Order: sequence, then structure tokens, then C-alpha cells
Amino acid sequence: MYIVVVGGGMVGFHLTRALFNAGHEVFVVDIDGKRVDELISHFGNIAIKGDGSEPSIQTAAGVARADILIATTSTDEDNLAACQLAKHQFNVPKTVTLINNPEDENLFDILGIDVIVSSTQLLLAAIEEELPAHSPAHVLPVRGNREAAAIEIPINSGVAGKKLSAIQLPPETNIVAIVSRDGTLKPITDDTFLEAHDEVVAVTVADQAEALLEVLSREG
Amino acid sequence: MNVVVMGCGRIGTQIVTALWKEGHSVRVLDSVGESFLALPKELRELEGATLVSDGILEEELVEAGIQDADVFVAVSNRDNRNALAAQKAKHIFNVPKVVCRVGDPERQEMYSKLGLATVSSTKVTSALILEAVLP
Repeated sequence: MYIVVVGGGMVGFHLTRALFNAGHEVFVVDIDGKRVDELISHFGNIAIKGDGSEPSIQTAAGVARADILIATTSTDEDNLAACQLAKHQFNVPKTVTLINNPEDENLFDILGIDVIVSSTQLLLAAIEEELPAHSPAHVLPVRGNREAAAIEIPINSGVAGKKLSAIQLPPETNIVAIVSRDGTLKPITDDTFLEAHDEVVAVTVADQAEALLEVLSREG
Repeated sequence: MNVVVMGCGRIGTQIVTALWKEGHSVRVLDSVGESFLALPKELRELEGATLVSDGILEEELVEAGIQDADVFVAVSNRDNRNALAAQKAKHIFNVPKVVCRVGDPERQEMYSKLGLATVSSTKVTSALILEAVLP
């Protein structure tokens, strides 16, 4: 695939290396000439200096034939502008962006940016994972103000030993996978029994994650 | 009308001052406090008329009264910042009338196709100069 990366900072640089090693054709745009020189010294002639939200620069970077544009600068407005230009002016099928201000996620979603990676949310999710009890582990934001949460059934939980059909889930919550302690996937049917140490992966609305945790871990 | 203006450079100053003289309620944001010195003293000293903010944080936009605004105008000197703030005003805060300054004529056309009311100062200025030059 042909992938254009806007922003050759730390994220852009390592992303470029990974995509390059995976056999993709990559091109990087960065406003900073020093970064461009560094990219060229590592990967060959695959970078230009310029404003990645500028039509002439996107033209020069061959965005018109890109399969994906990935914006990784440290300013959300520049990432949004680069993605919108790629999407609407150059008809790039897929736009991916990093966002720094988590408030921007909703707007970027409304505006049709295909993949939005919020560094703050990722860090928060990683921290929440480290917190003991009463915090849904491994929370991943999903579009539509939803979250995917992975929750391990505690040993004293009231749902351990119950059938799925007997469990009252919070509204708009779907269990998408149940992984037993040994790592095998359980089928998701009404007759599936939940056991202590099962890891339940569910998609729920953001404000119901706590309620789901409560349902799955309340002592029985 | 309640008008929130982002950017108090030469353009912002003109717009805010004119609207204020017309009797509208105006609030102007700028990331640099000194920018407000160009405003008429009376307006500058008006309670709540100015707010030092780059317009990025939603709580600052709320503080500026975006939730009750009839009009939001983004006229800072940065195209992308204007576009982000204007689209936020339109899609997140549902401000009835949003106008955005975009210097680059090509990007201005793109945003206007996306339904955002935009003005390219580059386009307008060059058109006026051409008009004056050509017989």
C-alpha cells in the first residue's frame, strides 16, 4: 500500500520504520527540515519538508494515489486539516489521525476521520489497567461514545457459575468474547456458564462500563 | 446578537469593534493578551468582553459563552486553528451561524464544499487589487 505520513516526529518516525519494514511504500511530510534530513538518511528519498495541510505539499507527496494518510503532528488542528484535505480534495480512502486533546475525538468522528487514536485515552486506559479493583481493566474507546472493556470475573463474584442468560447486563451492552483462564474462547450462547477468572470482553456505552464491572464482580 | 470572535488581530479587532458599535454583545478570544490593546478602551474594559485563550479547550469556549452564541467567527491568523474551532462551534456547540477565515483559497473552497461558511482574505484582497489594476 502507499501510505503518506504527515508529521515525522517520534511517532511518525517509528511508524514509518514499521510500515517500511512491513513492505509498504511510505512517504513522510514534515515542516522541520532537520527531521526530513534525518528521515532521508534512514530510509532514502521518502520525505519532503512542508506543511502537510497545504494542497501543494499533499500534491507533491502524491496523496492523490495514497491508500492511507496518517496524521501524527502534535497539533490536532493540523492533523484534522491534513486528513480533511486528503479525504475531500484527494479522495484518500482512509484517514488516520493522532489526537492530543481528547475533547477533539467526537468532532473528528462526526467529520468522518476513519481512525482516531487519542494518546491521552491510551495512557488513561493503561493506567486504569494498573489500578486494583473497581476499575474496568483494558478499556478501549470505540466510536459512538462506546467502550470495549475486558473484565476478569473475580473468584467471589455472584455471576461465577451462572449461565449467560441469567445475567442482567446494563443497557446497550454486548458481550463479544469470553476467554477462560487457560486462554480458550468460550462460545457465546445463553447456555454458556461464566466461571471465576474468565475474562469477559464487552462493548458498552462509556458511562455503563462501571455498571458492567459491578454486575460482573458483585459478590454473590 | 451574541457574537463570539476567535482571534483579535487586525481583522478580529475590526469585526468586534463594528459589531459592538452596532449594539451587539461581543466576546473576543486571543491567545495573546496584548492583542486586546487595539480595541477601543471602552470595549476593552467592558466586563467579560475579552478572554485570553487560544480557543482550543472546550471549557474556555464555554467560558466565552459559545453555548449561547448566535454567531461564532474564527479569524485568527492560523487557517487550521480557525477550521477546527469553527467546525467545533458548528458541530459540537450547534452555533447557528459560523464564519471561518481561511487564507489558502484552495482549502477555503474545500471547507465551503463541506458546508462551512468561509472567507479567504487572500482571495478577497487579490480580487479587489485586480479590480483596481484592471481597466
